[in-house]
Amino acid sequence: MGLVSAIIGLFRKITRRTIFLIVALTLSFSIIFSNVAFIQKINLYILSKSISWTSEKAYNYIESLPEGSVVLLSADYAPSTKVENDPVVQGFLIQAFRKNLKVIAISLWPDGAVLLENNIKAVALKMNKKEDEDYVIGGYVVGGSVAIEKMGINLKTAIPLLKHSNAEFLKNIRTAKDLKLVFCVAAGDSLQSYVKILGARYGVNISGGCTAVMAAEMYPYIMSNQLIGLFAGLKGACDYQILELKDQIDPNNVPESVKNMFAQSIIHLLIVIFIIIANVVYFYERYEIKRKIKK
Amino acid sequence: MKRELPLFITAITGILIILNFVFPELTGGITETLRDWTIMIASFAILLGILNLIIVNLRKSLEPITHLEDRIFSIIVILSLVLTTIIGLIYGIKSNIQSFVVFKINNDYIFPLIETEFLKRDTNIFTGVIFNSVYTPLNSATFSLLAFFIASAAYRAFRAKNFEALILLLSAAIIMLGRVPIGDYIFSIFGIKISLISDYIISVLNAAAQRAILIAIGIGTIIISLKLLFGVEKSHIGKGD
Repeated sequence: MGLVSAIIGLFRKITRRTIFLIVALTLSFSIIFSNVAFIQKINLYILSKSISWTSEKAYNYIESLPEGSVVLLSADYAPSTKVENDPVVQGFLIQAFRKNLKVIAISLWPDGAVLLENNIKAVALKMNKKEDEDYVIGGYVVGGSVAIEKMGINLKTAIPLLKHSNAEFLKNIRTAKDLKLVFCVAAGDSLQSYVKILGARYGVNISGGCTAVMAAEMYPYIMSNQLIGLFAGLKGACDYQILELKDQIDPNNVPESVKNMFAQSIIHLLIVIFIIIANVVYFYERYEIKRKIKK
Repeated sequence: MKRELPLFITAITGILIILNFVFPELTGGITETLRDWTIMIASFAILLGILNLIIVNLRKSLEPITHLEDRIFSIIVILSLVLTTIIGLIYGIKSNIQSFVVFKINNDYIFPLIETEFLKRDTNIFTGVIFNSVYTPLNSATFSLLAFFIASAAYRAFRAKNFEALILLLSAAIIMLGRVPIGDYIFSIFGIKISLISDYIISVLNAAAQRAILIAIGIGTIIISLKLLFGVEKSHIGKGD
C-alpha cells in the first residue's frame, strides 16, 4: 500500500509544466528516432495494412478517370496544417499527372496559393509536366463560398486568371459541370461548401482531404455519397503516399508523412497514458475519501 | 430610414438569390452582379483589415502609457507588414522553383541516422525567404503548440466521473490509438485491430450524431434566414439609429 500511495503521490505532483516538458522531450526524441530504419519499416508495414476505406475510395475514383479529364484542385489551407495537407496535394498531383489528367489549381486561401504553387511546380518539374499544357495555376480566388457558387455558372469569371491562360484543355470548360472532379484539400469549411454548392446543386463529383480534427464532420457526406472519398489528417496523407507510390517506397527511406506518423503515434500514446494516470489518481482519491468517511 | 433601407436591401437581395435557385434563367444576370459585388466587398475587407492593423499598432507604439515591450511588438508588426508588402510588390508572389537540389546530411557525430532531402530551391525572395523560411515555420510553430495544450487538457478533463464521461474518454482513447500505427501494433498482442473499431466509431456512431447536428443546423439556418428576410432579425444592422 505504501508503494501505491508513493506512486499516486508522484502522479499528484504532475503539473501543467511537467506535462509540457514531457511532451516536448517525447516529441523531440520521437522526431529523431522516426529516421531509424527499423521504425520506418514497422510504420510502413502497419500503415500499408490499415489503409482507410475512405482513402481507398477517393484514390480508386481518381484512378478510374479517363486520360485527359479536367479536374479542379483547390488547396485551401495555411502553413499551420502543411504537414497534414501538403502530402495529400502532392499525392493528388502525382496521381493526376501520372494519369495524364489536366489540372486547374486554385486556392480559396491567400496563403494556400503560395503553398499550392510550390507543390505543383515541384511535382510538375519532377514529372516533366508543363504549365498551360498539363496544368493551369488559377492562384488565389477571392470570395469563398460565393466564388464556389460562381464556378457553377461560369468557371472563368469565378477564376479570373483562367482568362489569361491559353491552355488547350480549357477551351471545352465553361462551368464546373464540365469538370470530372473537384478535389479540395481543406483546413476550413471549403470542402463542405464544395459539397453543398457544386455537389448538391450542380452535380459535380467532389472528393478531397482535410485535417484530422475536421474529419468527423465530413463522414455524413461520405456515407451519403455526396463526398466520394476523403484523405483525413496525417493518416490520410500516409494512405495516399502508400497507395500512389506502392512498391516504389524504399523501406529504409520512407516518405516524410510516414516518418511523421511515428511522432504522432508516440504523442497519441502519451496522451492516452496521461488519461490513464489522471483516472488512477481520481479513483484513488475517491477511495481515500470513502475510507475516511467509514473511519 | 437608416434602419429601414438596409432591411429592405437585405430582403430584396435574399429573395433574388432564392429565386435564382428556382428560376436561374430569369434572375441569372442580376444575381451574377450581386455575387460580383460580394467578391469586391470581400476584397475591400482585406484593405480595411490592413488599415485597421496599421492604425491600432501605430496608436499603441506612439502612446506613452503602453509598456515598452508592447510598443516594440507593435513596431515589429508595422515593419513586417510594410516590408512584406514592398518585397511582394517588387518580386511578385509567384514562386520560382528552379531545380531539385538534394543535400544529404549524414553527420556521424551528432545524428548518425538523419538523412535530409531538400527537394526544391526557390529563387524568389518573397516566396523563398519570407513565405517559406519565415512565415511557414512561425505559423507551424504556433499551431504545434496545440499538442501541448491538448495533452494538458486531456490530463485534466478526461476523468470518468460518470457513465457519459467514461464513454467519452474511451471513445477518445480508441480513436487516438486507432488512427496511428502504434495502436494496431500494441493491440495485435490481444488479437484486436483497433483501427477497425476506430473506423466503426467514426463512420457509424459519429456520422449518425453529426448528421443530426447538421440537419438541426440546416433548419436553424432556414429559420434565421427567414427572420432576416422578413426584417424580424435586425442584429446585423447594429443598434444605432
